[in-house]
Amino acid sequence: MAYIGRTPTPAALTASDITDGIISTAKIADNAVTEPKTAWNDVPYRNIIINGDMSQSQRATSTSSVATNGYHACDRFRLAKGDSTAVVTISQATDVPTGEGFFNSFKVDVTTEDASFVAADNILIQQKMEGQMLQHLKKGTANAESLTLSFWVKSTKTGTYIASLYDRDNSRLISKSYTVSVSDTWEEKSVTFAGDTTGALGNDNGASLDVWWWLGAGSNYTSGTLATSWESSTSANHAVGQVNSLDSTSNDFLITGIQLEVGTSASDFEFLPYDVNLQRCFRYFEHIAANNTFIGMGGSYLADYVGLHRYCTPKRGTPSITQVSGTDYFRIYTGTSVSFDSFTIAYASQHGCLLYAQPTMTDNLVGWFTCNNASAKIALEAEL
Amino acid sequence: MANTFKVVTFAAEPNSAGTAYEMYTVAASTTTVVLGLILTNIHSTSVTVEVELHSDTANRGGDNDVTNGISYLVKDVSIPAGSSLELLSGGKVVLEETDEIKIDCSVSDKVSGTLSIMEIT
Repeated sequence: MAYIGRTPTPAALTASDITDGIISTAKIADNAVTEPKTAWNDVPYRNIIINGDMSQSQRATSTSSVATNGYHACDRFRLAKGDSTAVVTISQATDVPTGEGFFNSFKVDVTTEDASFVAADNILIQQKMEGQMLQHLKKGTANAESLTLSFWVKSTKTGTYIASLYDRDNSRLISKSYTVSVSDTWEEKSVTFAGDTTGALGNDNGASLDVWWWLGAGSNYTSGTLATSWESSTSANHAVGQVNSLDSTSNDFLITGIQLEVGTSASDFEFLPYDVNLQRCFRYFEHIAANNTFIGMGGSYLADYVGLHRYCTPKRGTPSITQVSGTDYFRIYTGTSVSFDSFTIAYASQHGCLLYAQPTMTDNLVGWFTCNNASAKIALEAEL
Repeated sequence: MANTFKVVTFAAEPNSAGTAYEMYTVAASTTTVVLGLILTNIHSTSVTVEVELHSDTANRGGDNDVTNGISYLVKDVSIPAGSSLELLSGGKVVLEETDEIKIDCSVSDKVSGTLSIMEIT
């Protein structure tokens, strides 16, 4: 059989015609793979979340009897809690999804249950983000970017959970549900939030946008219709359908591998080098010293002692000092040693500060100071 | 025995797509050798064609004492616009008396055919 004239155009190949793994690198021209084909997975620092792998936990690796808001373990991740009588232990756990490259997770272990939420009860994990870190989202413009939130979760309580984005600058919110299908089993989840053409984020170091992972919510947050599109924040629409994961002391909730990125699909988790991750956390919290370790050098001014401290990285804002203090918890060494109980901070900026103590010194001495107790701890905090 | 070379043609068939056009029937007491068949697309776009061989020869006796049926020399073969398909240019097909060659096309009246044969009587 032969054709006279033109031969038929062969049918186009479909994906099923090509054997998996058959196309070698040599068959792809160097200039054939363009940026749009790769950018989604190659953009450095595409993860807006800081410490999404939970590898940094400067404050503590575990804090028990947590009944209030605050940063209790993994850097940058805060427990927000309103009214609920539940008490939990927050820890940097080593329970992680197998074979995914993670070594830590954020764990909420219920130690006092709250099986019956009242209307105003709410408890969630959050990360607050600076507006100046988010200008590329073009929020409040016609070109507002969609965002995809991906993470690994393991929870004793199965059912519907809610993840939300909250725009603090404009009091706007969007929520998406996801399902924990199997109890106490790591599952990978991904939700996409549409871009918001309303409400620009302030280009400053204030908290502009939050990510919330709800753990439980009373009817004040569940009685409406889930806000699956951006809307002016209405509490009743925040967490509709959210299960109560705090209704038993047997319950644990673990999360890791959190990534928030521009686009409508989740890319592989962006692992940052350990030191880079820590450096990013320093912007918000910097552990200086603990136990019997060195703090810094300085000198006496009249009867006071003043030490210069340059931060490891510029802080988000002027920090405050956080310390575990007590009788003779700190010590200054000059010609002799003088112990004292606590520090204050003075002349603080985003770049450095004076650590100030009043142990009754002799003027014009140069020396160095340390923690002087196994429990002593000193840190600087500029969290959102 | 006499050998007679013939050409059988049609300009535009089938009358109705899906109903094969009977192009050639072997006469009684005749054996035909098909030497070549050319089908030409006269449509403005691609068409598909099929060529059927209808044979009811049976009762030869011996090991092959079965009744022939309908076979397809080609089926649903595409011919681009402005092109022809040359069939049977190498291998030959032998037809026995009452056997038929039928042509069908995906579009009515859009294929033209030329059949070259040698009849043995």
